[in-house]
Amino acid sequence: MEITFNGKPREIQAGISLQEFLDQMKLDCMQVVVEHNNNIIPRQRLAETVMQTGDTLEVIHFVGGG
Amino acid sequence: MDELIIAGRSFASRLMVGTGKFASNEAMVASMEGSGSEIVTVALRRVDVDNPQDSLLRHINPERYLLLPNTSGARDAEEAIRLARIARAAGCEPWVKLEVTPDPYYLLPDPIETLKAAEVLVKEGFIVLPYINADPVLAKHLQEVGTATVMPLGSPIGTNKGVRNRDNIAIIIEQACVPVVVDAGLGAPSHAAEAMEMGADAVLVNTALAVSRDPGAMGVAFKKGVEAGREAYLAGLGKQQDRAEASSPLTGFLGK
Amino acid sequence: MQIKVNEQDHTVGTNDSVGKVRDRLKADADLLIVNGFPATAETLLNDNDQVVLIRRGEIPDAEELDALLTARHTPGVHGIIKGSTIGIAGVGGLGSSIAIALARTGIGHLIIADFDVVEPSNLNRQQYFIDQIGLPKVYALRDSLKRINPHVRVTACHLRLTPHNLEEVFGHAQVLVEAFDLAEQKVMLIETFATRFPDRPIVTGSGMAGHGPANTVQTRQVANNLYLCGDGSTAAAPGTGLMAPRVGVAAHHQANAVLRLLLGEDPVNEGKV
Repeated sequence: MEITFNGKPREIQAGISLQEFLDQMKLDCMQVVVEHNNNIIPRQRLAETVMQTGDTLEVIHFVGGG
Repeated sequence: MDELIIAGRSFASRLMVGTGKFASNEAMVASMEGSGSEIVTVALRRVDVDNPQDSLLRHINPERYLLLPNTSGARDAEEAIRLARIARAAGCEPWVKLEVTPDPYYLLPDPIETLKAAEVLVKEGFIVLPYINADPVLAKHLQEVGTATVMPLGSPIGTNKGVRNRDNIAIIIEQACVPVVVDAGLGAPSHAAEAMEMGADAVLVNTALAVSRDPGAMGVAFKKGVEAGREAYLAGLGKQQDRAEASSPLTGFLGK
Repeated sequence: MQIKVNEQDHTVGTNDSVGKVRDRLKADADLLIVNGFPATAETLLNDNDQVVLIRRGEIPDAEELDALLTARHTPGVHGIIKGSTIGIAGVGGLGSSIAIALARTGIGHLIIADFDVVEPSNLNRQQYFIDQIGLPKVYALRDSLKRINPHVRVTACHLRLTPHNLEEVFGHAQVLVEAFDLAEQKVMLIETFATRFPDRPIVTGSGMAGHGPANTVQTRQVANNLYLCGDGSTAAAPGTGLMAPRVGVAAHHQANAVLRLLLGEDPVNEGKV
């Protein structure tokens, strides 16, 4: 199914949770913040939140800045 | 003890540093260590899954440094508020450098959007450090809204021009009820010293450290500049005047 | 023989003249005072004389003022007061008088906050001058305090205090003086400060209008860490306006309570808190 990930369309497996998505992308949930359909999802809820087609996903991390 | 106190928390160092633009994580860490800083800024961006990078946080020891996420990239209050909430969700303490810079050429902060965002974020319990142009009236509004500091720019980000907003910064310092941090445009330790001599409570430096040939050594140089400026301020600087006033005695001259 | 010069002990020769002491200790002094009376350079001194040497127009430096206050208040007391930070919310009739009393006493740091400007109607009881009309009160007061004791640090906040900025403004204050006019403001301030800093005392003022007997103005403890100075009832109303003497009595009750709290003493009764 298709979602928008970090501003771009992406094909993903149907019915996977946010946690599973992060694991597949090799992203450490301790180092990123996830916004699903414009809501920030706390770490403890990543495993239970399942994606649907058309969802928007933003995964954000810290980078250098002034 | 001349400590910097922000939102009830004390710091020995009056030099805050940014982590952007460094050639490598090693250079960044060397600069942080040389500077003796206790507060470092970071930014928030989308992960690039095609170009995985070493996590920045692994290089910043949370025991030594207070992480100050900035809302750089925000073009309006709503985006800034969103970024602040994201940073908080990452598990950071709720300190935020509020930066709303819609204009990409000068990166000057939008005063209206900054004030709007500050009001919301203060109410949500954030400790807000707003980046502003050196506008004394805006600084007052922000203090009234409850920000923990005000951070007027010396000159635009990355220009290394120094304290070009001197007169207005002096007014902000005179009228401030919270610490004043001169942020942006400080290109040399002498600029940082100048800001501290004026009575600023702290300075924030990024570009000058990142672009130097030896960021570690530059960190040390800035540390000394900040200390020198602060000590001079506390010791009491003499006034400037036009007419000369002799420093050697005016009597007992050796005559012909 | 032993004499005091500008409150400090000195040993001088028997029957030295004031002029000789002046030349040695403060050669540029042009006003010589012995035991409270003006003297000339030829005046001879006696054991235990108190001499004051003044150069007209000169501002005493920090050390000199410090020595004067130490001598007057004793070193222990002065040391504590000098190291203290007091917050004053509102600098009208109460707050301006309290600020001046504490500055004269040598307080280390005053944080004064008020959004108001000086108006002609303030002059009947507030410590402002005619040439300050129109200035924000906090800036006018800061200028006046500098003329009294330039070594008191004054942070002047020209803003409206709210629950959101209170902590930033008064975060360092060891004791908060509540000197607002309106009941809702007083309640907001006391509740916010007491919630955030439950271990820090608040000294509030209430009931000091008119020209009733001064003896009914009292200091009372009304809650844990909350002290009220006033008669607790006389509100300002037509016929019972606020007047300098009684407002001053309440203000100085507050200032004295602050002093006692800083020194670990009970504001209401003799003895420790």
